[in-house]
Amino acid sequence: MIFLNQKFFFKSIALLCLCSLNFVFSQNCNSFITGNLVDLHDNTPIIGATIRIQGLEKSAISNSEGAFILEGLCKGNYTLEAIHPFCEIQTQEVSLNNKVVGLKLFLEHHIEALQEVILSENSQKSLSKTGLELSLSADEMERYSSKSLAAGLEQLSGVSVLNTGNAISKPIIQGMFGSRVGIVYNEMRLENQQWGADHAPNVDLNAFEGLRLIKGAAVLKYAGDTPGGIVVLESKQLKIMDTLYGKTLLTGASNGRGGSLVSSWVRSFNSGTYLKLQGTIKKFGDFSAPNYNLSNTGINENNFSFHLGQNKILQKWLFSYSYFKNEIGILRASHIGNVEDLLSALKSSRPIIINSFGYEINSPKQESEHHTLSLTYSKRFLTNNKWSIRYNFQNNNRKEFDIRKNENKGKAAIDLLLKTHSLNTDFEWKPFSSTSQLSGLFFQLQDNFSDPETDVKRLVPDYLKYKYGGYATLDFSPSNNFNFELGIRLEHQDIEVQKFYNDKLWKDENYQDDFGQYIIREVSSQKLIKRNLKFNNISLNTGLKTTVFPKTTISVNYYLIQRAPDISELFSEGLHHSLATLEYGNPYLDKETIHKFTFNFEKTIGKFKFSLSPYFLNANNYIIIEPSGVKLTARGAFPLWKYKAVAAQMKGIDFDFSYKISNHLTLNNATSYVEAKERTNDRPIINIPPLNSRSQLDITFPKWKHYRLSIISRLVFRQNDYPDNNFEASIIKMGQFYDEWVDISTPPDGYHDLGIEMALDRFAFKSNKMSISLVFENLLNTSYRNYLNRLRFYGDELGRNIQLQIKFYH
Amino acid sequence: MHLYKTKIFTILFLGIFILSCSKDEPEVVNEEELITRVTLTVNKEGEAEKQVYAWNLDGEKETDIILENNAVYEATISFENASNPNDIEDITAEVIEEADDHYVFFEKVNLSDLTIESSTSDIKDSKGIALNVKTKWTTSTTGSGTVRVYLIHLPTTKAGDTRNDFGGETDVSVDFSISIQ
Repeated sequence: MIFLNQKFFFKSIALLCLCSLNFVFSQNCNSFITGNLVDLHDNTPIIGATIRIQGLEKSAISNSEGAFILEGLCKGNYTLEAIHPFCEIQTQEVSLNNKVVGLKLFLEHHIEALQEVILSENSQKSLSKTGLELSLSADEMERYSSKSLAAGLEQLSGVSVLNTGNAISKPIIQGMFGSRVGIVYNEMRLENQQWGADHAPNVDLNAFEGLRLIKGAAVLKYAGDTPGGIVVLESKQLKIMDTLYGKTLLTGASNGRGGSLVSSWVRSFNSGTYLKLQGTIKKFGDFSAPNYNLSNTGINENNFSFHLGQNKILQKWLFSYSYFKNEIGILRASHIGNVEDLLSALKSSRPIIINSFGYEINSPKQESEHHTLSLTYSKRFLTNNKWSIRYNFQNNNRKEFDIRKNENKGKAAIDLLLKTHSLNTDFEWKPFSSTSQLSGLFFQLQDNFSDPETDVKRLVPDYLKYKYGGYATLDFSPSNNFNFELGIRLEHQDIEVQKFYNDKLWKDENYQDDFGQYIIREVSSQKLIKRNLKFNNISLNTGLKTTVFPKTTISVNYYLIQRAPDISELFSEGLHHSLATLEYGNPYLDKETIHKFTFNFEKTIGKFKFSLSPYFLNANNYIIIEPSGVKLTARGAFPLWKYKAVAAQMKGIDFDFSYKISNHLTLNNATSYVEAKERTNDRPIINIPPLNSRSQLDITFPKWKHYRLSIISRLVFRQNDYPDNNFEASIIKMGQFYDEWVDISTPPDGYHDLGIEMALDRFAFKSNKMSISLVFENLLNTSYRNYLNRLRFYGDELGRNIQLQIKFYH
Repeated sequence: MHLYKTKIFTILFLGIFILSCSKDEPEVVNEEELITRVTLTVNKEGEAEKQVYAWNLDGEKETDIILENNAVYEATISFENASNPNDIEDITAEVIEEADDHYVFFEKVNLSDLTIESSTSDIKDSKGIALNVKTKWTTSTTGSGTVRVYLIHLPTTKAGDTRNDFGGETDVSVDFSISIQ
């Protein structure tokens, strides 16, 4: 008579009563025991547990208060057994004379069960049931501890990196970057100035223990406008136990003559309460290419994070705060005045300015500061349904420093303060074990302030953006061999923007007819306009994954993605020194709509495992920036780059395999190819990664079990599909005018980068464990340039680097 | 306990709405370092009358600089920010203030007979190198061509014959048409 199911609770009570009555009459025994079942960890009642008397056909089930009653017992000594599927069986000797009242039985959840319940919503389980999901483990992430988030991501199949120099990098996922890739941490999207190609995500990889790239319906919880997918940074779920542990990573690198120190500590208690502290200090001087120093490319970074939370079976809460601050030097030689300067840089095989090595960071440089505060609460119901609510505040300050004159020296040329408040609530409903449904609502307020104290015209205007909406996803997995997913997200955006236009630009662009009505003030040859923009976006995701033959899985997904244009795409106005280009937003832009189809085929044949993932994308109103004429300034004529909307098409394929040659030898490979074109005229789209292939051979040794050796080879081909944006500049040679082509389009040749990694993993060191690794990057010290580096016109990529990393596990 | 938490979230939620009032009007930015006008003031040696030739960003067609053959002129260059007509800013003063970081270079097209050199009244930097703010122009034969005026910021050297020789960044690069009659 074990009724574990809550549904039958009352029935069972009734049945028990009948049974008891039976005993009362037949044996004339009328003693009873009442008591409560309590969770040892947090004193919460344990519901639905069976309390049985050993050797007797007698039992009861604890009610919603954890209370139970066993009636109709004869006097005597009994052994009570409390049984609950998630708990250790607890026995208790009872000497029954007449009655025992208020017996308190403490049950302890199985640690595994506890872990399982808590972990079930993240870490181990995949977030997307049908979409492709790629991940990096904590150990893999630690390799990139002294580098950036993008450097870690680049190890995943289909991910490339868009660089500005060597320290500013952002991921390109299946040809998408910037606002088309979301970065999520603490279950909320990172809100920094992610729109710019030279804006790296302001988040510290070291504050997390897991990284995943997700596609599929699961992304709709976070965003509906990311055709590239979502990068989720995760904290490890902590064990519910009384413990203190931590780790410290010390990394030193020869190139840049710097390194990083990362330390994190966790204190957790039996009650499920935990405290986690983590800090990162990073410092590098000038990096160097094989043949010269890359002057003014140092980095300083200091990060800190704090988590205080509690994990319990029925509820969880978390308060977290993180701080990120960096200062990144930008190659001195890339700060140029006009197109003639650019032309001289292009003609020179070395940077125009090479100074000796130094740690000092001067203009041009960037400084970012990012604060994140988040509060999360979630409650689980007995039916395994879950309700969560999150509030998140992010404060991002971005400063860019150009080389300026007189009293403006050292003053930022761009100073943006972006504040974002987000509130988000969702409910997870599991009506059947095969079906899980998540629905949620979100609200976001974003305020951007561009400080006029810079005395430089605002690159992006001040704005206030409201975003709200809802989403619902459904996951139906009747068996391990079949998954179906469906999701929808609706989003409304309401943007109030105030921008100054120069009278001259206003006239040149003919804005009066279309935007004249929005002028609210005219001052010193400038017009202040105030516009309200509204966008309604719908995003849909659906996917199917099935195992057709043993060890053969196929999945198909369709995505409909709508994205409202970024403020920068609509309204930016400014000069990019490194490219000698003027960048103008396009106030006529509307939202973009993307249809994406992906297919994934995975198969294991003995020791060989591979996955093949072709995808196809069709986009309308796809926003890109392209040259559009020249503009005369006192510095000379500049090419003018304007945002525009095109019909685009992308086709790509990611191929991965892993071959276990022997027990001690494994070969992995990830190869990606993508082709992106404008549909109407077949014109290639800019900054699309060329064909690339990354192979890694891992060798372990039977005799030295802690030792590991990896050989990593990265082969990047030349990009042959590129738009021709070259233009002519009039230069003076031997007292005559010459029109010369400024070639800013032709991609550099392909390259091969070879690396070696040697590691001694987790060996005993005194009472702790420790790991040591030695990594060689660009082992052959090859000079090459990278198409996806915006500063490729000025200098080579980094030369050989030797990195030593020591990890202590406390 | 639950009520308490609900309250917290309600307060936060309300907080967002309270914060969400409209934004203040942004302050206007008058760019300081922007150069919108380059002026050459030319007078023939020994004559008091001055001719003023200006290059304007707004693109108003500047008149050709007319010089006599076999003559000597003094030309003074000035850089201004005239983006706000009510507050025209003289950038030349800033250039002179940072004399070590600047250099003015004149590059000639089709005017091999014209010589341009620093004038005796020119401004000098801390090393005694003249900036070419005031220059002496000597004409010989007639002809027409162009003079491209550069203002170079942080030149690597102040000696050279072409723009490339000086390094640094170009702050100004504007053309003046010259007619020697």
